[in-house]
Amino acid sequence: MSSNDLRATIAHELATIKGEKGVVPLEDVSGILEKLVTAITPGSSATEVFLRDEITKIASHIQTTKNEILALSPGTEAAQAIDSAAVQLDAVIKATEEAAHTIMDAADEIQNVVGASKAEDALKNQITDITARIYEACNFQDLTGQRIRKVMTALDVTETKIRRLIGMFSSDGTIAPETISSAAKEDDGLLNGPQLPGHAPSQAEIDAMFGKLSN
Amino acid sequence: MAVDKNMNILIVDDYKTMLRIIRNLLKQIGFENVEEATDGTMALEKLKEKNYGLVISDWNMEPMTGFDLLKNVRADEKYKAVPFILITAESKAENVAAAVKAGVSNYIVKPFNAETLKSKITAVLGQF
Repeated sequence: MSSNDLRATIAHELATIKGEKGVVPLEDVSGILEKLVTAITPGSSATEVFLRDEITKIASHIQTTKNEILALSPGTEAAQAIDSAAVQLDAVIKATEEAAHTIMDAADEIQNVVGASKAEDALKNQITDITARIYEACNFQDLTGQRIRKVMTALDVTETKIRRLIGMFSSDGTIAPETISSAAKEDDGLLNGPQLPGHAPSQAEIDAMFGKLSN
Repeated sequence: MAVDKNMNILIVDDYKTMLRIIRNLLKQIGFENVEEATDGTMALEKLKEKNYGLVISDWNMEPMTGFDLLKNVRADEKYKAVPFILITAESKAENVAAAVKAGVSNYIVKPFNAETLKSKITAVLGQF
C-alpha cells in the first residue's frame, strides 16, 4: 500500500465514523488501526513492514489502556478502593477532632481543679502555662485536617478525570463534562493550605513581610 | 488608653478545634466575651447584631473566606475601623501582601502559640 493509499484509507474511515457519530471516539481509532494493518500486505517493503508493526503496537496499547481504564468503572474493585480512601480519610479527620477535644477537655479539668485548689499563685500560673501549651499543641488537628482535605480534593479530581476517560472508551463515546465543584472565588489563587515543613515561613518571617508591606 | 478586657471579640474558623483553642487562649489572657462564627457569612451576620472590638479570623473557609470577610468589613462604614487579625495556614508572601492591601491589622501563621496571639493583640489594641 502506498502512502497515498494509506492516507486515503485513514481519511475515508475517519469521515465515515464522523458522518455516523458526529465525532471520532477513541474507541474507534483502535479499529481503524487494525484495518490498516490488514491492508498492508505481507511481503511488502521494509518500511511498510515496520509501519505495520508500529501500528499493531499502537492498537495494542490503546486496547490495554482501554481495559485498564474500564477496570476503574463504578462498582469495580479499583473504583471502590478510591471511594473507600475518601471515606477513610474523612474518618481520620473526625477521629483527630475527637481526640483533640478529649485532650482539651482534660486540660480544662486540670485548670478547674487548680483554680479551685488552695495552691500558691506561682504553682497555679505554672499549671496554667502548661495547659496553654496543651491547647497550642491541638493546632495539629486543624493543620492535619487541612492537609487531608487537600488529598481528598486530589482524589476527587482524579476520579473525575477517570470518569471522563471511561466515557471516551464507552460504547457511545460520550465524554462527560468536567464538573466544577464550587463557584470560583476571588481569592482562589491564594488558597493553598498549609505548606510542607521546611517550606513554610516562620512567624518571624511573616512579621518581617508584614512590617515591610505595611509601611 | 487601656484595653477594655470586657470588649466583644469575634473569632471565625470552620474548625471547632481551632475555635476552642483561640477562645481558651483569649480567656487565659483575660478576654471572656468571645463569640464564634464558622465562616465569613455568619461572621457578617454577627457583626450586624453586636459591636465587636476585635475580629480574629481564619482565611480558608466556605462559603465566604476570611479574606472576603476582611474586604467586606473594610468596605462597610460601620465596621471598617474594627481591628482584624488573620490566623491562617496560608503563609505565602502573596497572601500576606493581599491581606495587607485589603487592610488586615495583623497576620498570624498556624500553628501559633499563646505568646504570638498575645503579642499581636497587643500590637493591634495596645498594652493590656
